[in-house]
Amino acid sequence: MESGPRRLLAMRSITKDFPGARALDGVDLDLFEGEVVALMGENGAGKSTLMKILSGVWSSGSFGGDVVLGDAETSVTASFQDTRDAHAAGIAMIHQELALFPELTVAEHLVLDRLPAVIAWKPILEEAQRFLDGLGFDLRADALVKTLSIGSRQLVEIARALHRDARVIVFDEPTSALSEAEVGRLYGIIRRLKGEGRGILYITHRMDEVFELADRVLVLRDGRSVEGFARASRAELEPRIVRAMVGREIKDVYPARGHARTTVALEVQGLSMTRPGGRKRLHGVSFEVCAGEVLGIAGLLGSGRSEILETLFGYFHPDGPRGPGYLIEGSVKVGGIPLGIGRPVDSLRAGLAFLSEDRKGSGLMLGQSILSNLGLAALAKSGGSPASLSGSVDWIPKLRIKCVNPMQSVSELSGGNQQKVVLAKWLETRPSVLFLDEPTRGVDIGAKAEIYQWIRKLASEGLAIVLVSSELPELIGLSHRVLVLREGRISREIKADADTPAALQEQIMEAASL
Amino acid sequence: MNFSTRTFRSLIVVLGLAVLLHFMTGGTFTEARNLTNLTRQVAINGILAIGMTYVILIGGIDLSVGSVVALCGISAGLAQVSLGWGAMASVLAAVVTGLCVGAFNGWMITRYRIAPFIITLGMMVIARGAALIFSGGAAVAPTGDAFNELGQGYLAATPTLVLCGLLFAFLLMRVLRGNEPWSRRSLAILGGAALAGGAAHVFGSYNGLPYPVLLFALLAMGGAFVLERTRLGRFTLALGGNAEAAWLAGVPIRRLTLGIYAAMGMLSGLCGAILTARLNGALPTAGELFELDAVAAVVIGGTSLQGGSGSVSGSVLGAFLIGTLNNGMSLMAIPEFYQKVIKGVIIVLAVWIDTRQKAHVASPTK
Repeated sequence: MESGPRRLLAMRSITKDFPGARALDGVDLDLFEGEVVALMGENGAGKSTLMKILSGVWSSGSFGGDVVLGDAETSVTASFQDTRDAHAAGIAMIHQELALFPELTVAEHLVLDRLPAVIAWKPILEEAQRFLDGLGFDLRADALVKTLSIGSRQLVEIARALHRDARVIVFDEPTSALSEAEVGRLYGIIRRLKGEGRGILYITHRMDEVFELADRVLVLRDGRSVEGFARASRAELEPRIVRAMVGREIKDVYPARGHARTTVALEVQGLSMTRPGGRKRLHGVSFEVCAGEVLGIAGLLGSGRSEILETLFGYFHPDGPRGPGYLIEGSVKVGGIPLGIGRPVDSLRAGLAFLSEDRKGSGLMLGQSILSNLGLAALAKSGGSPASLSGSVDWIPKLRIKCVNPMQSVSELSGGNQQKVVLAKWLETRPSVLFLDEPTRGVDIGAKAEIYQWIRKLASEGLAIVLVSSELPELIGLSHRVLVLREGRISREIKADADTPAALQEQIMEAASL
Repeated sequence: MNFSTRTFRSLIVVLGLAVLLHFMTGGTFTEARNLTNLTRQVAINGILAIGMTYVILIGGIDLSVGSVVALCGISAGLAQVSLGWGAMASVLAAVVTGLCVGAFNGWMITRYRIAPFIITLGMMVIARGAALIFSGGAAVAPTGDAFNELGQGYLAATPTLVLCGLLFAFLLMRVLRGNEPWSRRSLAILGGAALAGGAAHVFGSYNGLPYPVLLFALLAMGGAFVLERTRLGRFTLALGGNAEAAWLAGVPIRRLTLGIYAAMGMLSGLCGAILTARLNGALPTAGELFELDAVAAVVIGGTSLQGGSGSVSGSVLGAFLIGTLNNGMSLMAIPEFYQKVIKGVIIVLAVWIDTRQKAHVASPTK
């Protein structure tokens, strides 16, 4: 018998066709005990499809190639009919959009598929709590999932996988919605799982994570496995990974900063926001942004970083989807002219635009065409007729939105192209101040670089930009100044050229977390 | 109007059904008299379906439609019988009653965030009760002859022919100025010519165009135009597609919702007046299950119950499909109990086929 780690899993020549497109074309993948393999590639490269095959979403027979479980001696070709078969074979997936039930308790999530017809709560809760404590997870078994933070919900998914004693755990961009502290905790957990001999497949767009965690990197591009990399120094490996992903080299991820002008484009004085029920989320926030300037806003999840933009733009107006009950104070001037915080349409007309954090929830009408999405905000702003908006299609070549035609449904586009559609929707309104909330979330590295270029270009043309991001390198790389927010107050202002990026990152973390 | 492939397919189905019925009824179905009656029967459900299309497009529902038709009919009836109002004023009384009820629904939905299903379910019962109260539980009759014209009168043959001609000319102009491939354009022209010619033949050789049908046609064209060509229509689709995104993009989602329910009420009011005029009087029990026929027409027409996608032309064809079925089955003397079963099965079947088609077309790639 061979020594060394045993193989847990092998995927051989996996091919998957969709009507009109080949999503995967002969992809191979191995996973050994105690190993973290990072799976990288642009959106649409086939990562998700590959993982759906592994986790039984696409049943055996709907794709070509073999999924082989176990090492050379014990190998069994799997034929999963559904995700339950994959679960039974010890494969678990931690989804990016967590697949949890808000109204059920943590304990129920652990035993959902084995829940008896008549439930005796006490033993279930006790056993679940013992299990969670054993893992060292800070979770109460009887808590309803809807009361948990995103980070804690992820722990529930991980606990669920471990409760089934999964040997292979797939993480799909697990950190995209986590705060820095939660990310640190997740890294610790993954290392422990690895130490226990489990195999981890880790899908990510972030280089930091790759070098933090991965033993090997597999890059997919256009449905093929392009290249595998063993662990090596970051300086050497990073450019090679990027090249493998995009098929070309991307230089200068953060283009040079232009000079901010001195005319104040947006002035905010004493902005406060209280939620219905009396919880105050913003406490007298004041700042100004000049034309041509990129102002970054940093802060932990829940610090109020998104709420600043949402409040200013009029999201909490009583007519809006959240309804009445929000109390908003403060004064705002756009280009020197006072703006009473009203409805989004009033903000639009004053020259503001707001790319929101949640692309699917509040950015796009997913079922509708690119053209419908592109023109909507300009239509509301101008008050003209839809026929006058045919010019908005110009954004498709300008932003290099990859699509069949303007009538294609945005749901069929990759994350990066969807984000470009949202960006175009706002640029079409010709704003003087642009709010960007997590503009590169869920966007592949190629599109990311393009969005960075555009942010620069727009600023150099005199647009004032307020950028909220949880990715500190991005924030530091793009902004002229960074405001650090803590519990709804500005705790610090940092000039982006005052120190090295690493030092700035530390300062921001410190100011954000006390 | 956007003549999509789906609309075209539904049109073929309706026409195919008509041909089938022609042979199954020994030609009675396609007689001018029957077809004129058929369109008049379809008109009311069709008008309601136009409003319901908008309601469903924004992700709502209005279950109060049938009861509101009855209540507004009573309004018109009382205006005629008890108050001695003129024809126009009586119609207006019905429409305003409908407007008030619809606006109230919309107000409760937008101001107090009551689910549309719940508030309109409540209104369904309330309006029915109100109709019974105001009528004293009995028919309000007879309404005057001038008023009855609305339900029973005809636009004379000559202006009808002119109207058909104008419509065809309009269609021709639109198609010629469009940039579709010629195969589709010629198909559209042929289809348009057949429809316009057919309509001209049917209405020209009988009594002319019934007024309800005229109203239905005008409202259908207006409804389609607003949805396809105006800001209001694009906002409606946006609101149904994603309310949060629409709000952030500057769509006045509250006013729009209120307006759409108010418009639905007005259309119900108009239908109440038409129905009363057709029957020479108002019945408090009229309009039973109209809401379900309207919803069925909209859904058969391909409008998604989730909101955000659909068309007025589809709903119009859906209304015709239901109307044709009703009419054909009556002509064939199928017992009414069986008619209900058949109709229900066909509604489910139509939607099932449509959903399957959509699932097939939508690509599962991300």
